[in-house]
Amino acid sequence: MTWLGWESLGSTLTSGPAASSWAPRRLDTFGRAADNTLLHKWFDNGWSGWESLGGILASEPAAVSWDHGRIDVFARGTDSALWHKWYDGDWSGWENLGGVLMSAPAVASWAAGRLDVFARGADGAVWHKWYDGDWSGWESLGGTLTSAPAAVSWSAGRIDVFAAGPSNALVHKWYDGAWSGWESLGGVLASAPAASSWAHGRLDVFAAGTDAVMWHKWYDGAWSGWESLGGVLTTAPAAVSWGPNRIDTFAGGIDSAMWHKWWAPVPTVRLHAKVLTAPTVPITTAVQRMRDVYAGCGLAVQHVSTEILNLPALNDVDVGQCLLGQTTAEQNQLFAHRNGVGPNDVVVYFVRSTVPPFNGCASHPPGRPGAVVAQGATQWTLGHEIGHVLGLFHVNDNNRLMTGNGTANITNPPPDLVATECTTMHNSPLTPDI
Amino acid sequence: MPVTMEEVRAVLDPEEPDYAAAALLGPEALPHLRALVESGDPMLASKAAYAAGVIDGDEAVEVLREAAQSDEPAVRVAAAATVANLEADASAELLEGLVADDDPGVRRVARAAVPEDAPASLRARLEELPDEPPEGGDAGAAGSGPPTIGGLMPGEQPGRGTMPGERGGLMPGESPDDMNG
Repeated sequence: MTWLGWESLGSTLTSGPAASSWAPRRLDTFGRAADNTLLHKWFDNGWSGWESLGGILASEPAAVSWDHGRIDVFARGTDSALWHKWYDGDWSGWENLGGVLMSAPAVASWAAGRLDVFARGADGAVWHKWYDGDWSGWESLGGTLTSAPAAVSWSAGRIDVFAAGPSNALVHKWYDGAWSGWESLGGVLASAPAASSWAHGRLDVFAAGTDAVMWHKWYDGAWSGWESLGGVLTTAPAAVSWGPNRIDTFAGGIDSAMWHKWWAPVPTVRLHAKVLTAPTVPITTAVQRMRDVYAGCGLAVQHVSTEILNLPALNDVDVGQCLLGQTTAEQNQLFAHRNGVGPNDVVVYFVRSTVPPFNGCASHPPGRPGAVVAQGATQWTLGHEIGHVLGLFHVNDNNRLMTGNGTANITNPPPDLVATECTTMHNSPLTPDI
Repeated sequence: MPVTMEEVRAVLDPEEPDYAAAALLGPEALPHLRALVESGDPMLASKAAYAAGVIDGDEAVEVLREAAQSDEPAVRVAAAATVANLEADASAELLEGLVADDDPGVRRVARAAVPEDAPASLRARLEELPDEPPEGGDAGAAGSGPPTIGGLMPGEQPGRGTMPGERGGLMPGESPDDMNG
């Protein structure tokens, strides 16, 4: 899995976003427009435009889906009350659910027909109201919040609530038949948190730090530390999971547009470096150049391992004419040193030179995918040779990675991969979704 | 038609040069190959040295004599790998030096290039030399990095806030003590 983005989803928002999902590959996002109306944009095998859903919002919205085709949206009104609007084939009008909210609301749903809404009250505590066929009154869950809350449910009967507490640390309270106390999870939050869950026992929490960067902390049996996810956030984030190993996060940028970053399995080249001689272009640089180019095809490059090989007899390796499917005895000896690497992983042997002199050579024995790269290769040679390993051939175009005229002559870096080449690479067994 | 440097580079610049095409450039390419051997670019110099061997001719011997004296072992390896393409006398003369090279990789490739019917002087030279010692390592080190792909938000600096996803990270302004809830 890899974090992808940021991508801009446009608009000019005057609040942080909200997000919900009723099925895999379905996202619904919401925000407040310049005229304080509710805006909606959804993903359903492609992003829609923005539609206005009316209302006059005095806070960020909150949204949740309890089933396929159902969305419930909440916001604080100009009267500080909680207001509710839902989609069930058509959009309802706005329903007043009362209360005196001092923050944006948060909402979670553990089953069809169940909603749990949270907000900070005038006393700084978190207040709770739920729907289970009928709306409850408001109950206080205590605490001293310095931000709006976030809420998520990973299964029936379970709710996790988060907020910034005293000292702006993340605080956490959960319901599992009864309400826990508040626990501090550290950090220094500069925004309200957002929370998502992709499975029972899995929580992901996001917030802007004092550096305006989005930070991430997760629970999968134990709490992680904080991970920086970059960006420059001007609003609190929103987060939702449509299924295992998938998180979609949203936040406002300094251009007031809504931005999107997501965690997902992606087609990935798993690369192992076996070093007989360190190349002139550092391996980290060559791998990054490869990532720069392959990202244009939606492919990730995972640098899995680096191993030093003490094989001086193969350091100037005979590669013959370097023809696809033809290998020399020395190539066979060299490529035998996979040393436990998986069959669909790619191994690059960094050698001093090849005989005859090539920048690199991608011919490899059957079942041992890989290439050799010579010490004097260019910054693009690694990606070029692995391109061959993934099934690409030379082209006569110096704007492209697979130029047969020498990657030293690439005229418009980073070089391109065209759509047909991307398809070939995606179809390779060496680019599994991970 | 004179051969230009551009034509020579067109053959040698590819990642995997076609040395059969290099041979077709003919002796008029040799001054350019000599310039490339002297260029200080080890990759191009290696390719040029190898190409000189497949072209052959008197000036090719001079190009390879220079390549065999290069400070870059990879260039000397290329010379050793192609020297067998020269006429026997010239090949033997160059191999007498290359089989005794300071670099074990050059010696290995040069010894492999010695023909079975090598001149007596070359055979005598080989007999003078000690057996190759057991091979030792000469590999360098290399680093690694985390996978990242994606764009930047407006105002975001490349590389900012891209800590690897290691557990135990702290947010800015947070001290380790804050973690104790």
